[in-house]
Amino acid sequence: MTAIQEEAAVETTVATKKDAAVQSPFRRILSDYMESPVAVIGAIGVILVIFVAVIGPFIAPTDPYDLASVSFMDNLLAPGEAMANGTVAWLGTDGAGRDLVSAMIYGLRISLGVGVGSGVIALLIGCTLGMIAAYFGGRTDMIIMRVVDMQLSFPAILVALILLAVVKGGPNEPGYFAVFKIIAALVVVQWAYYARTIRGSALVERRKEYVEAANCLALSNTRVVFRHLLPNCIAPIIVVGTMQTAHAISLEATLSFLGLGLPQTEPSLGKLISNGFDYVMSGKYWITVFPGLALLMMIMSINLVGDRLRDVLNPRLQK
Amino acid sequence: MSFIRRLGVTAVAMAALAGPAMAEDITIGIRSEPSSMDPYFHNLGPNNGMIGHVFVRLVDFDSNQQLFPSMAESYKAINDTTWEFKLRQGAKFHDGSDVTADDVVYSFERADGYTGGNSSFRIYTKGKTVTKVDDYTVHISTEGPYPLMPNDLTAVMIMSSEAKGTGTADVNKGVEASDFNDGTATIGSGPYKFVEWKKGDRIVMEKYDGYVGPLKQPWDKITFKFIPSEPARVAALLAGDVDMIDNVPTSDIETLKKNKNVALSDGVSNRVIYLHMDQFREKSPFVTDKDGNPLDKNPLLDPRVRKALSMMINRPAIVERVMEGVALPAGQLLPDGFFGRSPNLKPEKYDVAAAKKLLAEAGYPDGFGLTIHGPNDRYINDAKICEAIGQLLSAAGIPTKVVTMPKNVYFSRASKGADGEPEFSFVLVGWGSGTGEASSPLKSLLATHTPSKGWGASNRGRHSDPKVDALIGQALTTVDDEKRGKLLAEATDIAIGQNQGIIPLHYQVNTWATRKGLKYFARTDERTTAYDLVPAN
Repeated sequence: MTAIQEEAAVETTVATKKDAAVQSPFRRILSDYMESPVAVIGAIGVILVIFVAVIGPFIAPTDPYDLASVSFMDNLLAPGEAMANGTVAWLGTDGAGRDLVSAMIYGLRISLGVGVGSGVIALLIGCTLGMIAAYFGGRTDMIIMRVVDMQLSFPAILVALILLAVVKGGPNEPGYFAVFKIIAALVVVQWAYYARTIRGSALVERRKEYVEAANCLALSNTRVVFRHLLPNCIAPIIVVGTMQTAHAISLEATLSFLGLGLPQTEPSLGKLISNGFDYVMSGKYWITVFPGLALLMMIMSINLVGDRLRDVLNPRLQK
Repeated sequence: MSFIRRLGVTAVAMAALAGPAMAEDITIGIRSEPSSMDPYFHNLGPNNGMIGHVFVRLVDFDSNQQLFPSMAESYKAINDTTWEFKLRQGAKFHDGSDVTADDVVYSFERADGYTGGNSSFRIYTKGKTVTKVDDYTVHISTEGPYPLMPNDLTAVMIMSSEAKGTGTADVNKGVEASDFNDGTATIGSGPYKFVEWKKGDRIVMEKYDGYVGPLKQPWDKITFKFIPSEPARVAALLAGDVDMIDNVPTSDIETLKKNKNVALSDGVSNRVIYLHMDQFREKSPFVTDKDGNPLDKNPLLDPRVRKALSMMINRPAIVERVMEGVALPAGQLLPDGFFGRSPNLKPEKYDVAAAKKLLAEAGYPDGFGLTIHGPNDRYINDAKICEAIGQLLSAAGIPTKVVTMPKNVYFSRASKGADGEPEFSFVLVGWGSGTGEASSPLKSLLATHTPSKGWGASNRGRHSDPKVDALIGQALTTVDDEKRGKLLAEATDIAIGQNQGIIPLHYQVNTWATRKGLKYFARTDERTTAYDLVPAN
């Protein structure tokens, strides 16, 4: 079966009979995906990161965010040295005396949580608006897409910086407020990418016969959009979604590195790197190098997965 | 023939190579760029240090904050209320005009009346009347006796009353701040002439050959490069891009000490790092119970609670681990050797058990919750100190949140929140005594907040005690040094020892690093100046 025939088959089956057809493309995608060993390594990396993030508090040797138990008397220990309470800091400690292994596990949770959280919200907003623009066209399309253009013409980091500077918390703002602010800034920065992507593919799909058929049956707009159009635009969304998640994580790290965002006592990976940057000239490499490596590997894994997904989900790139 | 010519060329090339090494040029990497070259635009450390090369004062401080006559040849008190200053004959501004009494009068007026800047110099000129006696003599008088006259004058830089239309009757007209930044009005009588300022990059100055005065001119050309990033500044020195850097990060001192091509110089500064506590609100916004709910009564109003907090802070440990040994634990406003210190106050001893007992006595046996606010780019390791204090208090049963922010946001909120009062409850700040003795911090930090008098201007905890105010007032008008010193010491004893008005943490020690072959005289006022940098012999 050629790719184009198969694609056509997917379209018709999705529109009419769902159950039997979903299995086969999934299995095809999986086997295609597994053909690239690099992508498999990426997938293992992603699974590992998620696993560590989920069970983090149970495997971390100490709680790096508990000020009462972290002591600056343990600060700047080299990898392998023991802290005052006997715990060995396998990757050393930072300037405030946090065990780097624990701090990285907790930081990873924040980075991944912020990345995925903002990605999902941005995806929901972006997809809805993009779909509306594509389906209704005309003036609605124009307005939404001009906003998207405007949004994309500003560098992401600039938009996020302005937002974080403008939105101030009141006295006694709870600690998680800072996380919400970062997520909100990242959503604002990202939604436009999703909107543009989904509008593009929805425009193509909209002209196809199955949509005409659905319209002829006088199905409601909502039903046509969500049951017929959306499932056929899912492939590009998955690809953009993975790429944007990686982007959001690195953007969060950048913001933290610049000193905006999360509190001093609850560092994310970016903040850990930034704290360690003060010590690079003094030879205390571990404070900045290990969190840096962790961030690098996480983003690389996600990007590898995203790259491979783009290849296997795009019929035109198939051999 | 050709051989000889080649030899000649080589000789010329060698001479050219040797040339730059002989010219006395120097490049200094500094952390903070000044906000203006206008002497009266902003009363800020980096500004006062930089501008002091171009504009000089009648009286100035040397590196140890000892007074010496600078643009004045001599000065003395001629009676209880009047000081006489004799100007140096033959001193000229960079445009060739003479430095006369008119210029002093004009500079005073501008320091007193200029309102276009970020902060005012009025605290130094208030209540003083300047009169020209002859071209080279001025009298400055006050209503009552005022022994600190020379100290105050170290803040007043002498501008030309004629250059670039400066001398208009209204001191707010004539020159704009931008005229000082591009050099058109930057015409002083100091040892160095302003050449150019590339914003965000460098300020260049060259030696003024007509300089008359006591300041040294060791270099022909000075380039100040702004390198705010700590590791980048150190890297620039190691790479030889700059000859000296200021604000050496404490984490790099150890490695630099081992480097044979680098010489370090350090000195205790007049700056104390301390904590202000809210002593004026019945309900303080950042003091809560242990779960973060508001409290009916502000525990910080009780001096016992303030003392308990002070006892929970392990100063030697902070100095050793956070400051990496480069600071001195503090028990009052100024380190050893400064005038007006109390002989009785020592750094509070770290004693959690006694602190908890005191808290129980005050009615808080279970402690309470607190948030410490501090800057993250102003003092040496400021954010790390806040975090260390957060850890110490949390471990001692006062769960403490730590919030740090950039200085441009922090200071305005710490001084004035939405309602015009200090916004925070527990803040980390530093104070360098501009006058080099104890009246400056006492007046600004611990005297009752009285805007009309200029007292308590930086009293962010609003400590207030009439006894302390009376002692400060008395000291400021006492001419006898010994008596004045005792009065200041007594005021300090009451404000800090009894009332626990602030919690002193440590005195900052500043470090400069030069390439081998240079020596910098570390200044207690933290300024980085080219005339304190000399070739080492």
